[in-house]
Amino acid sequence: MKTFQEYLDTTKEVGFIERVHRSMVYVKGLPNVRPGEIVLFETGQSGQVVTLSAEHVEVLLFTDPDVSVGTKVARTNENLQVRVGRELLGMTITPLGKPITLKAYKKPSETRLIDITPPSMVNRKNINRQLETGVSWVDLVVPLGKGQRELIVGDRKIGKTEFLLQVMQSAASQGLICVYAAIAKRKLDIMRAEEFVAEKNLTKNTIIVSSSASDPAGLIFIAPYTAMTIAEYFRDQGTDVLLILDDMTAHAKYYREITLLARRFPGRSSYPGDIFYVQSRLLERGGNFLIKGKEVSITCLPVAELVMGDMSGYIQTNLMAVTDGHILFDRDLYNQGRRPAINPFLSVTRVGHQTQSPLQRDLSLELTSFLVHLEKLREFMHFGAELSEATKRTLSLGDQVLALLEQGTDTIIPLSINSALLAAIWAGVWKTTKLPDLKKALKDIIAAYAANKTFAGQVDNLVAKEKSFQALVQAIKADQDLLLNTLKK
Amino acid sequence: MSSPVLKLIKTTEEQSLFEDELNSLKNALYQNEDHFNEVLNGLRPQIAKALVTELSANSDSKENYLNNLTEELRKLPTVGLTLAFEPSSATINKIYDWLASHTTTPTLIDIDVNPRILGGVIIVSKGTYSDLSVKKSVDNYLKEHKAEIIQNLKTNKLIS
Repeated sequence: MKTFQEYLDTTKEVGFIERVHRSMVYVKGLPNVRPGEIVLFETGQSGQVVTLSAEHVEVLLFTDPDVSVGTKVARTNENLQVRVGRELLGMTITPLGKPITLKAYKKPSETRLIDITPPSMVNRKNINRQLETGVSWVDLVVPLGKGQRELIVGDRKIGKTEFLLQVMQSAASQGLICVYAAIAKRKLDIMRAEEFVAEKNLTKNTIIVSSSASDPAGLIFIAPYTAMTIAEYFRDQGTDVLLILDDMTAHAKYYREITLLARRFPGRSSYPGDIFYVQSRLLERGGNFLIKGKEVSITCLPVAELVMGDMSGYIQTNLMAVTDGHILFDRDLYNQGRRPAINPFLSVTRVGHQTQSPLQRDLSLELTSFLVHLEKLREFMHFGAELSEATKRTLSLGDQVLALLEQGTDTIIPLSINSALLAAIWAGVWKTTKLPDLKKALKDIIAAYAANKTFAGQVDNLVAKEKSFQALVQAIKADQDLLLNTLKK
Repeated sequence: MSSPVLKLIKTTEEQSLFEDELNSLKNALYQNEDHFNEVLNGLRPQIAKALVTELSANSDSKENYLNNLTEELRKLPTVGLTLAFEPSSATINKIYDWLASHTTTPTLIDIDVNPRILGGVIIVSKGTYSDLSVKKSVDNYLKEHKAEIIQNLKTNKLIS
């Protein structure tokens, strides 16, 4: 970036601050400035032109509003751009692309505009590759595809961010580039994400775009745009990307603050009329694309926070309309102790099932209908009815299935072993085993799968060979030793 | 159509002074007629004379006239000039006359003194910025002839 004087000499236009209204500044002058253009203040701050009127240029500040009336303003004749490149991997950066991480870093040479028109249909491809999240509930019941935009929705503090970090870990282990946009997060939360990335050794695949709640509204607003721009850079390099926008309800709130300061007419819940346009235009930049003849995706996981489980909020429903489904984190389930607290009945995946193999699709259907049946039976039990042997067996199977689906935030369970274990439970391998023993056995087998390549290969082959869930169940029944021998070792 | 009295205001400093004078006149309106005349006669002679002439020809109330004049005064366009020296009244008059002959409405001059520009002027008008200073010319010259200057200095053994 050039200096203030250089810009002044180049554009030959100057303005003066007439009024400062929090992060909104009203400037007189700059006759040929364009909406969206970046302007530079004499004191070193920068801002973006929001609107133009006959009297004023409305500028959104990217810094704290410590500019004073009378300060000179220069045009830059440039729209907002950020530096993008592999140099950013392992870094935490501000939404303006400046590094926060204290480590030696080479400035990337390429710059990109952060606000562009989403790619057209011509450049897009059907979503047909599954994204393994490593989270059993998602991989088995609400599968995600590479390039899918799936909303993660739920009350605050019920494990959404932990789930996202888990997905990030799994995606990074599969070679995806992960971009995590922390939108108006607490600094402590951002630090935790950084620690997670460092602890799990994901720095080679991860970039964190950080905006904390104490940052100026303008800076918070552009955070997801910067993250998306970085994701697009890696997409164009031919790498699949996972983009996490945590969270978009905070983004909407800060956009509301900006527009109310700019005296725009407020609409529903005081949000501006173009809030849907602003957020959908951003999320439309995600998807599965055809780049130089190769399919490359930006899987986008925006987050929406619920208030007391209310899914009918304005921004939440807007985001549901934009995305290809949503995963609901349920407060009641969380309070009952389920981890992750995903509600499979209210979660939706519009394109996830089309990415599954015939076996996985069959397994998913079987499991979903079983869970519905189990839920009905559990409700029926509330009446204190005497249970038949068959019902008892179903309930016991249900407990075992839920034990498999229960997962801590520090474990990643690959899809093959997940499928094999579910088939083993279905086949009655642990029919008489008590639940605590079963949980231990499952944990040991998963650990063995991660540690023992021969065992992992055998499981992968077995799962890849079968075309239906029943066939897999039969195969496991016939070869129980494959799993049980691992436990003996 | 701007008021003839505004043609007597040449700089932003005078604009500020005249606004204060108009405010004191407006305050005097709420006392008796003698006090108003007393305040009016206490203003700068040229301004007082022009105001008396205009007030006598004005059919509107004094209050409305003064309010309109204040509004007009605030809306006067300004040309910012950065000079390397403190200009004398004669220089300001000369600049103002030149400006008046090139503009249709009275335009104020906002003078800023910055010796670092060495000479010439930086003009800011309606958001356009023209740097016609000596500093800029020297900077440009040094930029263009950098290699040549260094070579000359080396030849004359002024630098190693």
